[in-house]
Amino acid sequence: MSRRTTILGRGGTVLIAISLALILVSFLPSQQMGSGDGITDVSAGTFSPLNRFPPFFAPLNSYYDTVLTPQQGVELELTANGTITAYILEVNTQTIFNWISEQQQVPARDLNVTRLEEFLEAHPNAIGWQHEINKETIKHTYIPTKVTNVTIVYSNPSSENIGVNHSYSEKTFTAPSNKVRDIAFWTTPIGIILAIPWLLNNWKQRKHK
Amino acid sequence: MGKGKPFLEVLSSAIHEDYRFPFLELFAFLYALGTFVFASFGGIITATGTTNEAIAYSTTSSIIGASMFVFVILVFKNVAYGLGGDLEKGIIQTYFSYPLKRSGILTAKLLSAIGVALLLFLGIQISALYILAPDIVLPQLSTVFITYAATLSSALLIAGIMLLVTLGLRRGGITLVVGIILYAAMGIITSIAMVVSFATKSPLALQIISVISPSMALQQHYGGMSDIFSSVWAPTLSEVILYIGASYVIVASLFVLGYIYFSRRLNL
Repeated sequence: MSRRTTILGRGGTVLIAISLALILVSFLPSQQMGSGDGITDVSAGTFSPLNRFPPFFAPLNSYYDTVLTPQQGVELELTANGTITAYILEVNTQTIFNWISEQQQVPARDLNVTRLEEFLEAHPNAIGWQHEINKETIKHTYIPTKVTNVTIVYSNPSSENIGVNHSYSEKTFTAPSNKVRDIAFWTTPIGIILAIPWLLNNWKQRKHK
Repeated sequence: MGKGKPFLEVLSSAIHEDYRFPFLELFAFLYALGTFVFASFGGIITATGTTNEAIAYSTTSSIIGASMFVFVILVFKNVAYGLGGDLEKGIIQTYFSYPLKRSGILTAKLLSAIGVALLLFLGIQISALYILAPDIVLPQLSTVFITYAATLSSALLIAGIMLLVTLGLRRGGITLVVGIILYAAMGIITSIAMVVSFATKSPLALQIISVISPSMALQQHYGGMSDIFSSVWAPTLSEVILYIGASYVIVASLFVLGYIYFSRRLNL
């Protein structure tokens, strides 16, 4: 058996072994850390972070702010009765409000949608995910690639008030299962292709003996 | 026959012996599983206020633990049974008849025993880091490198001692026992050094242990231990690099001794 066949074959079997480990890891169940659901009213031409308090608590707000690591994610389900843009931002809400206050030189919170756009223009790296929701329900799982603050913000540039129903669930897991499974699904066939000539040679040699 | 051919011959024979099917695959599986299953970013959730280097250190050290144990077992097996077994069976004596220097034979054996294991270990670990936390790791490659250098030195130190013991005893089984005892002793000595430092409020014990196990100094530098130990000793990064350098000088000395003994003193 040629040395090249052996090296490639063993490389292939190693890839298969690693893929098996990755597939096993991807099946490890995630654990729920916290969850919540409710509705956030977004007035015309304004933006609002996801509000965890029910509307009857207004004007009191409890904005969604958390810290996530690459082993934690947030599963979101959002339904809007109009057209809004949902953002997952890698900052906390206070950072947004402080930046706007500094720019405007006013201590009060300015929720004008233009202020949010200015903030996003100045901090493009803060956008972890964004999606336009047009009278529909969308689902998204967000997993950061670093340790980061996370907040969810709705932007309503339209001229009508919009209500956004949210349901979120924070989960902790061993590894990002989709990513790990994707890698395993690529490496397994490569491993098999590399290993086949070596395995066939081995089988032939044993049969010959 | 050129000089390269007998070297490759010895190397391929060593790799064939050290990584018989399915040993290599089993260890690759354990490396990957250990890396992902035991990775824990839980400890760094409070690190958002600390430096990016500290987060990168914490991330890297969290994924090393279990795989490092697998790496150590693989290296010990290869050095003790690979080299020790070849000395016992007289295979090394056969290699001496090859048109190759003795140092070349030892290099081929060590490349197989430690080099391939290290390549597999680092390959899987770095890929895992890239999969799990690319934004933490990529901007802090130097921190990741220092963390690996500091963590690997104690394993290589024991491997160096095992090499000398294997060459001295020319037997594999006893050497493996010596290696396991040394590895366990390293953990116990580290704990004793911490207790002594805490009791005497002097960093001397921690400093001494950092010469052979610089991961201790690195952990102290990034505040990975409790505040009590940080108040006793908080080395700077340049001090940590000095400890890492010193530990590798010791590792290199052990391997040089091994080479000298193998080349000049080993009579079979």
